[in-house]
Formats: sequence, C-alpha cells, structure tokens
Amino acid sequence: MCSNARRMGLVAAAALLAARALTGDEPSAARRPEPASEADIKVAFLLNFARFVKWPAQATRKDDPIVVGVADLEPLRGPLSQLEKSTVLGRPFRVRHCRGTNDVAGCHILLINIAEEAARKAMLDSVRNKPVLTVGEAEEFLADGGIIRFVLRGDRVRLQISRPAATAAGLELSARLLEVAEKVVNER
Amino acid sequence: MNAEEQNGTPAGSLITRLLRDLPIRVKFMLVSMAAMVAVLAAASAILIAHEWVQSRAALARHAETLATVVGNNCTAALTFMDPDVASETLGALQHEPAVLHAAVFDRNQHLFAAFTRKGSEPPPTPEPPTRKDRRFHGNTLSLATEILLDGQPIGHIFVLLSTQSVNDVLSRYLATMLVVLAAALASGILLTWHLQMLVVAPLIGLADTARKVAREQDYSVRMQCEGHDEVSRLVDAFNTMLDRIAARDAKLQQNARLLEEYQERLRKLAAELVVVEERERRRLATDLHDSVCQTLAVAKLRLLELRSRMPDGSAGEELDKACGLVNEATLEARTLIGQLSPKLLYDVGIEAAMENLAEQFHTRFGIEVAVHDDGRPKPVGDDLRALLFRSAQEFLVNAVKHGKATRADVFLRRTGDRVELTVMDNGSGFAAPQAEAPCSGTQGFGLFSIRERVKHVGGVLTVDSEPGEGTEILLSVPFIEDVDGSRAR
Repeated sequence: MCSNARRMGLVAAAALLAARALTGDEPSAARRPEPASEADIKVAFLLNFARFVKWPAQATRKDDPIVVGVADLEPLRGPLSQLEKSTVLGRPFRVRHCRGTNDVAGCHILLINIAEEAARKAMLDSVRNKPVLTVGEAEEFLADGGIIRFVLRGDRVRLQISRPAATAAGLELSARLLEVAEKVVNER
Repeated sequence: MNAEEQNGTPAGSLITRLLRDLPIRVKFMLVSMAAMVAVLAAASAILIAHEWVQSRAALARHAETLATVVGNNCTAALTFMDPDVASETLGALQHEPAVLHAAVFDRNQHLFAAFTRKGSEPPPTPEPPTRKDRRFHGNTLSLATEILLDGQPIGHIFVLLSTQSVNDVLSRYLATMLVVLAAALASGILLTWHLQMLVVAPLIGLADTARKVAREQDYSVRMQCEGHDEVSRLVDAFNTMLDRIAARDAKLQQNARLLEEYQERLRKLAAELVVVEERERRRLATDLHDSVCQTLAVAKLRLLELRSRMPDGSAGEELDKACGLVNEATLEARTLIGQLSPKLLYDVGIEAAMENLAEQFHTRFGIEVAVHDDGRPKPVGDDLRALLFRSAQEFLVNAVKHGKATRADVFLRRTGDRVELTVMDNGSGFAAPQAEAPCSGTQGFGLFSIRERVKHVGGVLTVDSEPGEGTEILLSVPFIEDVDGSRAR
C-alpha cells in the first residue's frame, strides 16, 4: 500500500515518535527533528514492551519501578538515560547494568545484547521460566529460549516473538504486540 | 354575514363552496379524513424527523466506535512504528460499507497509514486533526479522534463515512410511513363510514322528516332521538315546532272551513236575494200591469166616451190632451213594467227575451246586437232563466259602458245537460284579473255577483279578454230546479 519512499518517511517519523516517547518533548516548528538512531528505537521498544506485556502479580507490584536490565550498556547509554525519565502507567523505569547472571535478579525486562553465545545462553538460562521478558538480537535467540528478538530490516527494527518462551516465563503478551511482530513462534 | 365573511379567507370560501352541496355524510367523511391525514402527516413528519436525528446520531456513534476500535488496534502499530500493520488494520474497514476513507496520524500529525474504499474517489489528504472533531458535510460524516495508549495520546484517527445508510433508512422509513398512512386512511374511511352514522343518522332522519312534512303537509310525524346532545335538542325543537305548526294548521283549517261555510251561506243568501228581488220585480210589474195599467185603460175609455159626446171646442181639446196624457202614462207604465220584469222572458222564453233585449240595446245605445240560438229546447226554470237574462243584460251593459263596443254577439247553446251563454263584443277589453274583483257600485249586478250566483247553482263563468282585443264571456250552468222547485218551461 505504501511506497518505499513513503515508508521511509513513516519510519523516520516513527523513530522520532519513539525518541519523543523517551524524551517527552513536544514537536516544535522551529526545531526540525533529527532522525532517530537504531539505539533510540530499541530503547523506545523496550519502553513500549512494558505497555503490551503483563507480568504475573507475584512478580511485580503496582507501584514498583520497571527494572530494565541491559547486558551491554554502552551502545545504549544515551537513550537509556532518557528511559529512566519515562513512566508507563505511572511506573518509572530503572536501568540496571547486568554484567553477569548474578545481576539479573529483579529485572522485568532483560536486554541480552551480547554477541558471545555462551554468555548469552547462560544469562538466558539464569532467567528461564522466570517472569523476565528477555530481549535479544542474536539469530538463535528465540531458539535458545529468548522471548523477543530485534531484527533489523533495512533501517527498520522489527520484532520476532516466541510465545512458548513467554508462556514459560508466565508473561502475557498483548495480541496487538503479536500483531506487529514480523514472526511469532508458537511452538518450542 | 355571507359565507366568505364567515370563513374569512378565499380558501375557506372555496372549501365552503365545494362542500356546500355535498351530502352531510360525505362532508363528515371528508372533514374526518382531512383531520386524519393532517394528524398522520404531522405524526409521520415528527417520527421521520426523529428517525433522521436518531439515525445521524447512531451513525456518529458507530463512527466513533469504529474509530476507537480501529485506533486501539493501531496502538501497537503506532508504538512499534509499523505502518503496514496499521494499513492492514485499516483495511478491515473494507467490510464497513459506510466507511469511505480512514487515516491514522502519529502524534507528530504525520500521516501514518490510510485506507480508501475501492471504487471511491480518494478524498484530498485530510488536514491532520489536532483535536476531537465530528461534523456532517452533505452526504458524508467526518470524525477525528485521538488514539490513546494507557491514557496518553499517541496519534489520531480520521474516518470519513457516507450518510447513504441514513438516507436509506429514511427512505425505508418514509415508505413504511406511507404504507402505514394508506392503511390508516383505509381503516379510517371504513370505520368513519360506519361510525359516522351514530352522529349523522339523526341529522339525516331529521332532514328526511322535514322533507316529508314539507311534501305531504303531514304535521303528525315525529322524530325519535335519544340522548341529550345538540342533535337531540334540535330534534326536540323540531318536534315542538311541528306541534305548534300542527296546532296552527288545525286552527287554520277550522277557520278555512268556517270561512267557506260563511261564504257558502253568503253566496246562498245572495242568490236567494237575487231570486227574491227578481220575483219582487215580477210581482211589482204584475201589479203595475193589473192595477195601474188597467186603471189607465179604463180612464182612457171614459175620456174617449166623454169626448165623443162633446162638440169640438175648447173643452173637447182639453179632453184630447187628457187622453194624450193617459196614453203617455200607459206607455211609461208599460216601459217600467218591461224594465222591472220582462214579460217575454216568462211568457215566451229566454230566446225571445234575448231578441227583445237586443232591440232595446240597439234602440237605447245604438249597438248592434245579434242573438244566435241553436234552436234546441232549453229546459231552465224561472230563476235560472232570470240569471241568464240578467247576466246577458249585464254583459251588454259592460260592453257599452266600459268597452265602448259597437257590436256584440249573443250565443245560446245547449250542451248535454248544460246551457251555455256566450257574449262576445268588439270593445276595448280589459285585463282579465279585473273580472275577479268585486264590481263597483256603478256596475250594478257586476261580474263578481254573477260569478257567485253561477257558482251557487253549480255553473262556471270564464272571462277571456285582453286590452284592445274585445271580450268573450262564457257562462255555463246545469239544468236545475228553481229555489221553489219549479221546472223550466
């Protein structure tokens, strides 16, 4: 339905939207928006996951902050700092740098953005069957037990989702989240 | 106050003229139908207007629901920047026939995704909505509303719907109302046609009764009506009026009978008076003949005898003068006798008396009078004979005095058991109605008196006259016995 040029424009606008979702800035006619980076988009997606994922009641309380664990903090440092200024349903975000499996306890969202396979699997194993939304980028991430995988399609970030992994973690994924997923894995 | 003033407007006058000659049942029906149509039309208009408002409101609610549902379904697409998903979501609106166009804008008011119905003209790119808005334009409804996620606006959705569904609903509603209107009218006509008799029947009965009373002059009929409404009061008043008319009519008829009786008695008295007068004339004439004329005759004989003894001289001349005076007295007495009672009438007959009358009129007035008798016997009594003679005498006097006639013809005919006397003259004539009025004193016997006398004996009198055309009077009487029972000769 949309042409490529239009799609590019839409992506740019969406990226800006994501950036604003983090910053809370309002558009200004005097200040032209700058294109959002991949990091910005990913962090915005982390924030939006909180809107479309429901954690089990025992795993979180209503007013508790949403703890976002990040394995490799460095590429996302800027956007993550903005994330901590955001709220979802009145709940603030807390960003935790998870260097190892010992740091993952208490995280609601865990971004396993490390390339080393063994470390990645270890971190996944450490939260397996626990109410933690695992997000990664590796090609085998879902196969390894991760729940959401970022996929870069051109300049767009798309999602792949594993429903069995989410179910095993006790998380309820919104149908609307599944709707925007490029791929939904329904069987382990 | 005329009908137009009562109705006030030319239209009212026209309606009054149109309704004026229609039967009351039709009037009642038309008025009821007019009221029914007006009420149903007003009710239909209100219902259709209400349905129009409700349909538009329902369409607006439907549009809002659609926008909200579709907007909610686009939250993830907006959030995760996937316009394809938003387009697919909007594409589902293809199954909503009313939706012509839909568009999703992100929170920066940039067009994110759009839908245009197949076959529809794509509308110009709508202005990015900045607030909730809903408005009708011609045959479309446009609606813009925010897309909220967790209570926060993340974009807008714009929906353009066709109001054709509202028009279709209204068309169906209008058709239904027309059917209902026709059915109601048909039912109303049937019901009114039968139920109106409850109201109209007494009025129709009243009109029929009034017509019967007027036609048959029968004031004994009465209308029966129960209840205490205006019609019942009208019927009561009508019956009361009939009571009074009947009472007056009875009294009038009684007075008419009395008057007729008086007239008959008067007519009889007048006829008897004429007979008595005629008989008295005849007795006086007889007395004059038997006494005065005989005495004069004896006196003349004595004078003639005495003259024969006397020599000529002054004494003889005196006796001659005395004889001359006796002769004059005798002549005058005979004339008087003839005028009192024509001797020929009773001694010879009506025909001879008429001939003598004709000669007398010619002698006295110079009028040519011709008597035409059919030669058949006319067995009339003395009274009837006198009536015929005096009538002919009166007709001729009138012809001379009033008509200045120079010629008259008298016809005597017998027709069956009736005798007819016809007198025609060439006088100035007169307007026939004058003959109906009682005659003045100067006319003596007078047509009026003759007519009454003729009527008394069962005869008829007809007068045919026009000014300048002369006069023809026909008198026809049956043979009857005289008052004293004598028959004619």
